[in-house]
Amino acid sequence: MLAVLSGWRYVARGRDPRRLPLSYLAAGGVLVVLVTVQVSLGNALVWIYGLHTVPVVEATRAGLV
Amino acid sequence: MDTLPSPPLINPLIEQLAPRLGANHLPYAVPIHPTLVHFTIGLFVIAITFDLAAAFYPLERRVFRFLALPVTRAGLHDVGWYNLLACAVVSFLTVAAGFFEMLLADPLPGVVSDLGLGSAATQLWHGVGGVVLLLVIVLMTVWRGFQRFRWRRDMGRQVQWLYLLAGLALFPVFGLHGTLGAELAAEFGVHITADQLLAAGADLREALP
Repeated sequence: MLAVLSGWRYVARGRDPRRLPLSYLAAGGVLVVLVTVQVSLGNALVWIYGLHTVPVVEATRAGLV
Repeated sequence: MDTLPSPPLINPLIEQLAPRLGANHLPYAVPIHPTLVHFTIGLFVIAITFDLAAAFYPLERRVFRFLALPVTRAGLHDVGWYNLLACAVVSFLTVAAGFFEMLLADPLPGVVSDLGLGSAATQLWHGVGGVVLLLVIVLMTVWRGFQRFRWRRDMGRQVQWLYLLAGLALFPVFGLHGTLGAELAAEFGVHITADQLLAAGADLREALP
């Protein structure tokens, strides 16, 4: 999606650097929502489930998790 | 088997607020500071990088023309300035969240980090370092503002070489500072639900959703 939006932005800027299509901004807004969801999921992995933290890794190796 | 008495809570804040705190010792599910910190770092790095790109603009002009990109030197400097300004603003929130969460921190006892520091030393370096870095960011922003609006207003290159060098020199400082913060999480288990539950002797298969 980032690559598609970058391409879209490149074409729009090539046509008129002073105007940004409203549809582009809308698509950017959708991407912001998706990124926020991704950040929330990543936050849960680290801060709730302790992914890659020393105590959880040690407990996993000891067969406790 | 004898059960040892659990050690008394060292942190009186956690003791007082205990009924309102989760297993991660926070009144909410995940800490805020580690998310905000990425805005501070990202905005600062982008700010310096775009000012560097603007400083070397005469070398890049042909590439931009070849790619049919309507890039102006002033435009690159605008990106540098506004990103640094946003960095300075958001970093106050980063430090505020960091201090709130440091007051409620309960690092795992007896751990020594990869850098050879205990939890107290790591917390103190990261806490004091964070305030110093906030001050440095604000000073860099003021310096950048003077260059933009006073000293170099009519020049093509809006920033001094010394400013760019200072910005680049801060990258490894941010890296080291961030490492201390990452160790507080990954090694000392600060505000990590799973780590705190493990330390309390809970079975993660049952205690975690």
